[in-house]
Amino acid sequence: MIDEVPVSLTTPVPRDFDAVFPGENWFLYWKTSASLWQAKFQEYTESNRIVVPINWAFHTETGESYNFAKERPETDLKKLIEAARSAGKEITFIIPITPAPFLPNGGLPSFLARTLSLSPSNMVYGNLDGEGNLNKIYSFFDTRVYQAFCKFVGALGEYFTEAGVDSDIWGASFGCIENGIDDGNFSDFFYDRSSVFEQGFSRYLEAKKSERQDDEVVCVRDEEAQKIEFHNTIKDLYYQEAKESLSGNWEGSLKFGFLGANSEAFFKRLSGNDDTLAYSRQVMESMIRNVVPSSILVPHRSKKGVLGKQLSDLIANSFLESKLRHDYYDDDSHITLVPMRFFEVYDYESGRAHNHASWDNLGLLHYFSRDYRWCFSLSNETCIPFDESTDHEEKIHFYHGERMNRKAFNTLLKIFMSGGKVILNRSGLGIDYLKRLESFFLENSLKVEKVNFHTIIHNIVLGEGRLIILEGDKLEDLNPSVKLTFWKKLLDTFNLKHISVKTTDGVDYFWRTRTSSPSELNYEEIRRASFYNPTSYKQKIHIKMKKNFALMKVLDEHNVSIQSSPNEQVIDMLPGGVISMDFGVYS
Amino acid sequence: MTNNDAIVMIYDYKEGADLKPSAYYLYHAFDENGLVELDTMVDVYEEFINQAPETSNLPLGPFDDLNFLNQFAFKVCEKNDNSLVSLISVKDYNAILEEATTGSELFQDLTEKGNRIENLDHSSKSGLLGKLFH
Repeated sequence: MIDEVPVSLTTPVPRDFDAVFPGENWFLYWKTSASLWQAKFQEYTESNRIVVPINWAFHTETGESYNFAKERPETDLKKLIEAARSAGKEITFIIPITPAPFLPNGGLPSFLARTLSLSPSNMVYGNLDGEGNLNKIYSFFDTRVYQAFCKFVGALGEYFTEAGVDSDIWGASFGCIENGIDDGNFSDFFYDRSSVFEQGFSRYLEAKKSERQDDEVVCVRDEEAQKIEFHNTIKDLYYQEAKESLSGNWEGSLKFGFLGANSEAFFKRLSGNDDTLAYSRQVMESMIRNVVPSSILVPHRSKKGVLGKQLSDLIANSFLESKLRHDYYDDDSHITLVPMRFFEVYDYESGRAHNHASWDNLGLLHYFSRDYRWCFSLSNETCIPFDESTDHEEKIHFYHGERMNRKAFNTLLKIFMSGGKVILNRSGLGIDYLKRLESFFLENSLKVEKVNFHTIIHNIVLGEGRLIILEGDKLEDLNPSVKLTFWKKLLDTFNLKHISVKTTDGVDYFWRTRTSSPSELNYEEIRRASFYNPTSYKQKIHIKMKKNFALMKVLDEHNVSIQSSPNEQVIDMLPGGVISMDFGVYS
Repeated sequence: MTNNDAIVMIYDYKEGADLKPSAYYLYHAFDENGLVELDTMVDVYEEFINQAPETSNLPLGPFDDLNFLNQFAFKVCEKNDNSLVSLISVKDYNAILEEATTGSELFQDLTEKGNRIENLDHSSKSGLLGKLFH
């Protein structure tokens, strides 16, 4: 007897289940009946953590009143939590403090959708959701939007208190990882250069002028820098309002980067093309920027191969959880994997002019991509507070002299004094800070070792701490291969323990780490490397084994073959191949 | 004629600043297969204008006037063997996007509502005969 295979000649209709669980444990409560919530949660086996974005427009039509469990059962967030708990799940809410690309009007109730936001090239922002619907982004710089937002979060906070909602809530900044000139940078959907923004900006400048009584200062400064400052100020107003109104449940802020949302992807997707290779890379780019990638705009059919595996391994069951749980690193540090990071890199803010070379221009990121692929974090913050609870000894921190501020300067000295490693690019460092460094060395009787290797390098040691000061400008024009050699030689002096991996073009991999469990006491640490071949070609990987590392196990093999020897692992990957390997690290 | 293999090009006029004169620039170019290769467009630009573009990234330009941009667009269309090119200003693009509700509707509108230049030498590969003989 021949089995009948169902054949459909029509466009596949997305499953209802896929629409409510569009990816990475997100649940869109407004897309299904409240009576089905519990059944949906029971059916969902990916994770016990469910992320629920609050849909502002779903709870009000006119802005006069708010519907939380009053008229429509689907607005009953308390019932949602109960349905999840009865299925053994925990809800974490997120409240957008920027436009949301997966909602019509970017999440604004229709009465507030008045002025469309404009991109840097004066184009209206459009986003396609997983079903091909076109969502436009409206400006959050409209004062009416801000007032209505305050009213909404106030009503939500009251409802949470009255209903006894005890789930965590996070303020979410939504954006995307850019391609093209801004390759890899995170840009948020709060961005706007519409007339509403410009009017607000003029009022902001006027207010600043009258405050300072000093026209000159405002006029001379870079206008784009001031626009970024205005952008950040207004965004912070939204954030603070949400934080205050929801203080009982507030956990902090998170950035989400949507795959398929940058302008390049948007135009590709207009004709139904999802560039999963680009998305695979954006997943990694997001994580090093502490941005949680989200694939909810990408149709499920595009997430079936390597991308789906990558999202499930690295995001849904690892990175997202590490962001949502403060105790993640303490409680289950032996069973949960976190991104492996040797370096914390502080770089210039995108879009803001700077006079000296970025770390990328100095060849550092190129070097990392060869020898420490994705084993670093990249931040544009300039006011980094010193966190005593963080173990600074294990990482190397990179700072630029340009745009140095008092807080960052004090932080880098504290890191150094507490046994941390710091590399400071002194190009652009103000004379005051140079003097302070000199007196710091004198006061502490620190010996400054001077080496000339492509640039003048100062090496200062204090206990376990190391401070390296170099002049980045001298490196900028060097040949790329010389830059690679420079960074290799310099960073080799830190004796970092890491395994060397060589791959053919197209394979990507990500390292994660955890402490050893009671049954793995031979090892100090367990590192997992996950390899992905999103291309349609065969690929090869060579892993050179080093002393202090032992291969413990191989897992999740798919479309791969391995040849093992004591010194090397060679992996042949077919298209769509995936493999993870656990290595034990011992002294 | 089908619009399925039309190229859509979105351009804008940038006011000059400092020593840079005002000119037209191409911001995006795409067809049903995705984005038009930037390298192809840079090659056409260099052949047609006899000089390298300002940068090898988008926006591509400068184009002194719309006539130049139209001719450039047509040459890219010819080189890619697309059936037509639809040129749209950023202002018109914004107006079209505001009215559209789905991605496919937007793509259709962009191919129909721009300044359309047809490639009469286009070899129709969509039919069976086209596929066999091209």
